[in-house]
Amino acid sequence: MNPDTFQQLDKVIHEKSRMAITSMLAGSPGLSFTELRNSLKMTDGNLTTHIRMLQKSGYVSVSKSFRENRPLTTCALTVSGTRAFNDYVTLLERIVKQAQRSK
Amino acid sequence: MLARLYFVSQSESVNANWAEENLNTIRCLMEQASVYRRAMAPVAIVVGLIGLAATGLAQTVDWAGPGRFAGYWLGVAFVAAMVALLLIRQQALNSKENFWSPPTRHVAQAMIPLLIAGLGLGLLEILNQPDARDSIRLTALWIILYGGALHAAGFFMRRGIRLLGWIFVIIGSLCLCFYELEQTPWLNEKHAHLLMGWAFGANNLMYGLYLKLTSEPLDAE
Repeated sequence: MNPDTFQQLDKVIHEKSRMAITSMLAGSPGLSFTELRNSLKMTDGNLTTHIRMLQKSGYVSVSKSFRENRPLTTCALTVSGTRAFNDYVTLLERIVKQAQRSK
Repeated sequence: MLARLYFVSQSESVNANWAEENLNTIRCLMEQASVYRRAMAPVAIVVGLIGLAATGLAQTVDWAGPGRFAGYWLGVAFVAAMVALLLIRQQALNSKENFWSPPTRHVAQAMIPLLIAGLGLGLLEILNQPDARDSIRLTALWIILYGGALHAAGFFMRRGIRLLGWIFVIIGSLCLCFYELEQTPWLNEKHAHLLMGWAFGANNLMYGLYLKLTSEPLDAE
C-alpha cells in the first residue's frame, strides 16, 4: 500500500467529529445547527468548535436567519468543502482498493 | 526482518479496515442527512381539514350511495394533493431550496405506485355498473393503499410516518374483514362518506396536530 495516500488525507476532515459533520452536510443542501447537534449527539460547544474550524478552512458556510420568530443557524458545505469531501472519500476508496489488490 | 514484514502487512490490513469503516460511517450519515425534512404538520392538518370539509359537504347534500362516491372522492384527493404540493413548494421556496430535491423525489417515488393503484380502483368503480359499485369495500381498499404509500414514504421520512401507515393498513384491513364477513351492520353505504372523513380527515388532522404540538424548537444555539 502506498503510504503517500495517507499523507494526502485532508487533516481538517480527517478528525472523527468533523468527518461526521461534513458527511451529514454532504447528504443535504443545508442542515440547522440543532439537527446536526441532535443527529451527531454532540454538545453545543463541541459542535461550534468544529464548525468554526471547518468555516475557517472554507469548507462550511454558516448563515443565521429567523424562522417563526426563532433564531435559525444553518450550515452548508461550500464548493471547496464539497470538493475536499469528495477527494477525501476518493482517497479512502483508493486505500480499500489497494488493500484488496495486495491481498 | 520477518517481524517487520508481519508488522507492515498487519498495519495495512488495519488501515484498510479503518478506511472501510469510515466509508460505511460516511454512507450512513449521508443517508441520515438526506431524509425528507419538510414540515409535515401543516400538510397533514390541511389535508385532514379538506377531508373533513369534503365529508361535511357530502353529508349535507346527502350524497349517500355509490353513484357519485368514487368520482367525488377522487376529485377531493386531487384537490388535497394539489394543496399539499403547493404547501411543500412554499416551504422549499422559503428555505431557498429546490422543490424537486432528491429526498422529495424518493418520497414521491415510494408513494406513487400505491396511489396510482388507488386511482385505478376508483376509476374501475366509476366504470362499473351502478348496482355493482361498493363504496365501503372501495373505502377500505383506499385506506389500505394509502397506508401502504405512507409506510413506503416513511423509509425516507421521520417522525412516525411508517407507524401512521401501519395504522391506516390495520384500520382498512379490519374494515374490509368485518364488512366482508357482514359483522358490522352499521358499516353500509350510508356511512361511506363518514368512514372516508374519519380515515382521511380525522386521522390526518390528528397526526398533523400531534406533529405541531410535539415539534422541537428550531434552534437552541
